[in-house]
Amino acid sequence: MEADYLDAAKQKSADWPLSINGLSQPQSTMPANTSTTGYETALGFRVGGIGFLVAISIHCELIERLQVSPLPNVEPWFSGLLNIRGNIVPVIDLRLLLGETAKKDNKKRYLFAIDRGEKTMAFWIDGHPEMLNAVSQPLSTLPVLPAQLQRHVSGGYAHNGEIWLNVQFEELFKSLGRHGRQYAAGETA
Amino acid sequence: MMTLMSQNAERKPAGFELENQTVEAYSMAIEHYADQAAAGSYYGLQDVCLLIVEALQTLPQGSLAGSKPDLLPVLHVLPALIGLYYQGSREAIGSIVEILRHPDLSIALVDDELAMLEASLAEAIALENDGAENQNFEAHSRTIEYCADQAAAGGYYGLQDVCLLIVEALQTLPQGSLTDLKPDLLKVLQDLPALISGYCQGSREAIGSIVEILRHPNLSIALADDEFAMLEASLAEGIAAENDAHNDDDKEEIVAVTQPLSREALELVELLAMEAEIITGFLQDVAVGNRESVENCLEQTSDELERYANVSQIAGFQGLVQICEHVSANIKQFRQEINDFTGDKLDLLCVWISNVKQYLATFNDSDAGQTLVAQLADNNWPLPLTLEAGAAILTAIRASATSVCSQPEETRKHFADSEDVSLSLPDDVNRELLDILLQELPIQTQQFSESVQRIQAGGSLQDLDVAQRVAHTIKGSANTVGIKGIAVLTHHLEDILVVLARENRMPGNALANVLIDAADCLEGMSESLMGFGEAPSESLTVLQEVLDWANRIDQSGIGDIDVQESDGQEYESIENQQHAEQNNAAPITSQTAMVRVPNDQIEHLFRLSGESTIVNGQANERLRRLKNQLQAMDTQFALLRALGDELEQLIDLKDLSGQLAGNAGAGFDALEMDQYNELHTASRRMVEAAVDAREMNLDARKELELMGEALDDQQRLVIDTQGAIMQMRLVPVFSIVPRLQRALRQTCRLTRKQGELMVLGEQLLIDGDTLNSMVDPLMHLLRNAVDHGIESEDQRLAQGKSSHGNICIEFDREGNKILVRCRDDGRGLDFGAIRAAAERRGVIQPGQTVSEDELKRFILRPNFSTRTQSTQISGRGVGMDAVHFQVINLGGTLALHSVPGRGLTVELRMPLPLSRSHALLAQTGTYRVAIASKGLLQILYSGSGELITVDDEQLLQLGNDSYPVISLNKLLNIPDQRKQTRGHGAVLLVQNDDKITAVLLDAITDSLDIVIKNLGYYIKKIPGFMGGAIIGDGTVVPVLDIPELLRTATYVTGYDFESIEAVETSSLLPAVLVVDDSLSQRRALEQILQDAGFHVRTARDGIEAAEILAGFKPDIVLTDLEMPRMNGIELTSHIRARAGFKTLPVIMITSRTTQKHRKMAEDAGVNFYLVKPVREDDLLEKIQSLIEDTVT
Repeated sequence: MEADYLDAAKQKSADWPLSINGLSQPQSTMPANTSTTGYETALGFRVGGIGFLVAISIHCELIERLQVSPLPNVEPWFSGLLNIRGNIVPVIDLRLLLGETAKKDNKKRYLFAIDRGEKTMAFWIDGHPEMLNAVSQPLSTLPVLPAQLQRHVSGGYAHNGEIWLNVQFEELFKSLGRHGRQYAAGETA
Repeated sequence: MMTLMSQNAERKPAGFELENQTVEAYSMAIEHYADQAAAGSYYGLQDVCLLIVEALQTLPQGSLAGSKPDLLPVLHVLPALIGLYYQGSREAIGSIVEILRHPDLSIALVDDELAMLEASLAEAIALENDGAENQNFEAHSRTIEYCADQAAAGGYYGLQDVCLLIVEALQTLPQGSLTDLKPDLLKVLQDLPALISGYCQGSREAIGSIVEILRHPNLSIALADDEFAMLEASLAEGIAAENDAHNDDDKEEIVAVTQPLSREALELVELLAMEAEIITGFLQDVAVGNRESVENCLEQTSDELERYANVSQIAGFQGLVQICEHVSANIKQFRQEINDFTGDKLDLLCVWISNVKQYLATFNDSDAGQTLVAQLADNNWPLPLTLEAGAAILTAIRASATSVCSQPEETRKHFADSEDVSLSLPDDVNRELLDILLQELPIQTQQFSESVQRIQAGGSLQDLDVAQRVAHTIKGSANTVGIKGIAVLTHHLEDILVVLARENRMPGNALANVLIDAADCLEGMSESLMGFGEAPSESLTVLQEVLDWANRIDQSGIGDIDVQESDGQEYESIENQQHAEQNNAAPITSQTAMVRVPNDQIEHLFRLSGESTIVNGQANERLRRLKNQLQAMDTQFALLRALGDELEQLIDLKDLSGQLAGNAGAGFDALEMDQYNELHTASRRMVEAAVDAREMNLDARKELELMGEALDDQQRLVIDTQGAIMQMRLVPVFSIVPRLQRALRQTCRLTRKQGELMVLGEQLLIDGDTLNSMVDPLMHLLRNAVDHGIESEDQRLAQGKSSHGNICIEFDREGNKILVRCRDDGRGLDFGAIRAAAERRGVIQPGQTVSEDELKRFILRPNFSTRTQSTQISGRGVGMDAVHFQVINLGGTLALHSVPGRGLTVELRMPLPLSRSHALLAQTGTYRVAIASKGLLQILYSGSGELITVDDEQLLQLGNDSYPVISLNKLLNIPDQRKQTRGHGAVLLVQNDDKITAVLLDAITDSLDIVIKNLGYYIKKIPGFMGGAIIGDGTVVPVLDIPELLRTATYVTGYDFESIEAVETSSLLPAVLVVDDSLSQRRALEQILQDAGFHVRTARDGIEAAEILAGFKPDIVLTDLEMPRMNGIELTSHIRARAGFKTLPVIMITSRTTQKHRKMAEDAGVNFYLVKPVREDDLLEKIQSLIEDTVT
């Protein structure tokens, strides 16, 4: 069972960007480029019961279960480092960042990488990411999130009875980068 | 000087400013006069103007010069006539009406009608005069109130008081016409403006008269006598201050402002004044009536005038030149009719020369020279000045008022030489600025080319402005870097373009062609600098042409430029050609062909070669495993063969026994014939196969050996590639030496000590980034050495040292590090003061025993200073702690060696950037980490040395030495899972600054070459980690920086400091905001100021500066004048209007030298105005004093 999943994941990882594009086109009933602020089609992934949206234009991939090398003496949400095609990629556990207690059971989780090259960052996600179509019901109020995350949430949408947050990942990563640094040795540079 | 404008002056027409002399243009201009006249209720004049316009419109369209040449001069006189008319001249009326009678206008008016017009014209000015008498006192109040404002603006506060008193008094008078009520008051009030203007010109007599007005009974101003006296004193003070201010101005020109050219100009003005005295002397000696005396005097005067004209020319007084020529012509007339030379003729000359002197004293005033010109129009002159000529001279005078100072280098060269087009770089060229110039130059030369091409194609004045601005910028940058060829050419080009732009003239064909040639030449020069070819061979010729034009414009103005087209060749002298030949014979030493590559590209290459190393390492790892597997296989094959042999033996035995058992009728003895069965064959074959397999295994291993060699070769190549890439970034140490020398000189001057700097190892090549990053800490070290180390001259001599301090900086390479030793022969560290400071801060208890080594470490601690008050001088409050912090941030180490009384040596070890590093792979707790070789002195395996515990502190005893002990797990906050009894796998001796620590490890698993990478784009640096590395099996390991871990750990566990925050050096330094639109200027200033110990921020223009000021409070602002979007004046006004910045000192640095610009800057609130080129020392001194002023 586990092996099947892995194979599926591997398959996905090999041709992920293609398959996303392949999926989105036939199902998309909306005009390709309307300038509404909401997403027409987006990629969603879930961590700890909360959905996160990633713009379809951003390169993402589901990673085969590469070995994550942990670092001593850093923030707990900093799971470690990953080698994606020669790039060292930090792995973030959003669940811990959301304030949930650590459950070291990462067996049923997948690694999901956003962006490419040296800007790549990876998350542990629950289940497979999925394509969301016609995401256009903005939330009037956002759920209360830990401050570190809240700052970078630019909006939220209700879709199929779930909440999906629109996160400014680049800003989030930047602030995480700074934070991870401060914590590690109790020294500000 | 304050100018009081009369109402009429506003209405005075300014003469025709026509772009072309077509009928339409004249019509429009005169129509405008008609409108003005109507607005001023001069209806007669309006009629006249409209009549002329109507008449003009019946003429054929197009150029007036072609169709009606006679009409032109008449029309040109019109504005002057109108001006005179406005001033109340009745004579002007006749002349104006006369114009209407001009045959070319064919205005069909009968004499009656003309007479009516004349009457109407006369009526208007009569009305005007009557009107003045009938003015009610409100109008007077307004005028005087205006005077008060003007007085306040000019700083004449006494005058302001007087005016306001009068206004108040007037307002208490009953409403209505003044004439009815107080006729004699009216007369007094009419005199007031004249008195005020006299006062403003410095007349002390005017003061009495002004105060007298206040005493006028009709004003009933109730002031006591002493109050009058005070007012009088305050009035006198006003003009005294004014005179002082003038003197100060002059001094400032000479002393404070580095403006040698302007000083020259001033000298020339003085010279002119002296020469005027000489002429006066000649004139005073004349005995009228004595023919010989008159003859002599006139001849001398005439000669002198010629010289005078020349000097005026050089000083830039174009108007004066024309006046001299005119007076010369008159004197010629006098000499021809020598008998008619009477006393009043002599008076004419005397008055003239005194007017000249007056003009020279006030040449920058807007009304300068008016009396001078007016006097020349006197009909007593044999050749009185015509209105037109007078107007032309006045224009020239006005032009020179602005140009005298802005074009002070009157002595323009006439012949260019090869030096002037040299593109060679100065020996001490600043590489960074050169790089910037090389980036900017191609873009700017192209911009210049484009604008000049547009000009040639008949472009607009805007193109002229663009060309001028670009030329100015290029000149500035080239001067900053020191490339003479470009600076000289653009300098003369700029001058030509400035004149063109000022006169609103487009260049004619010939000049435009020269400009195009110059633009091409500039582009050629730019390319040559970039290494794309030889310096343009035609540069000398082009510069000569440009010079010729510039000289021609200097001499004869721009006026005739289009007619003088092609006589430039006569300037080509033989001398000039010789120069050209020399130039060709010795071509400018061209730089080796260079390819400029963006830094990213090199970074990318560097990264790629790093990847190669990683892949190579992975391949080697696989190879090693493969070899191991083959080895194992070989053993298996050996086993197989042994088993086969065994089997064979067994079969043989069995066979034998079988035969013995059943020896039935075969006829052969067992020894006679081997009786083989299938079993035999199979076992035999198996043994042989095992042997073959083993052979094949051996072959395979040989192949692998070869492959291993190939991989080794490849690895060497990769290393060589990396070396070559590193080579691209190497620069010699001497490139930073001038900056170090300068920092030393400045510090010495500020501390009034003497020091000499020697730099050893100048030729050493170091990675450019590393070298640059070292400059800042080195500057601080130098300043510290002078400020804290070197004693005063007296002290040194008393100690038998040389009077000047010696500081030596030595660069050396030590493995993968650069070792820099900064040694001074000063007093060394003052351990007593360090101890006292440590006690004061409660770090140690009084009386506690602390070793000198520990004391040394104290001064490296953040925020530790032995000074009780921060020195504003050289150190600027940045101590050794800050240097230490910078060094550590760069991954280096710092060690101090002090000998009291003999000096201090600071050793810096800075790592060179390496893509490859040797590392140990270690297991600590559950983590697998790599330990970089940085700081590793020795690796000891368990059992070596002895762990002892002294005072609760673990020490490692190794021979005679003992080292403090800490485990890596503890450094990393990993819970120690080992049992206390089990020893550690390995011990590392690690050097951290000048202290050695023993670090205990669980186990070392491998030793390997790694490539250290950063942890992605977002996570730049985690203290204690150098980054991550991908190892042979494809996984990532974090790379530890043990010295850094030790440092951060000791902050917490060592002496109790109140703060573990690292020092941010910039917050201690005085901050400067530099605003300039030129990148090279900005960078140059930034470097000078940084080297002088300032924290510098830069902005490209006023808008950006204003944005920066929102979150940054500098101690001083340096700004350029002209910038896009928001200029320096606007920026200063903005700063002054902003809360919290009212007293922020602003220095303006510009190439604009005129009083006008200065005044504008002062009005906006600029504290100091510096003219480029600026001497560093002057700038720094000024900054220092302004900052100190603000503080106090």
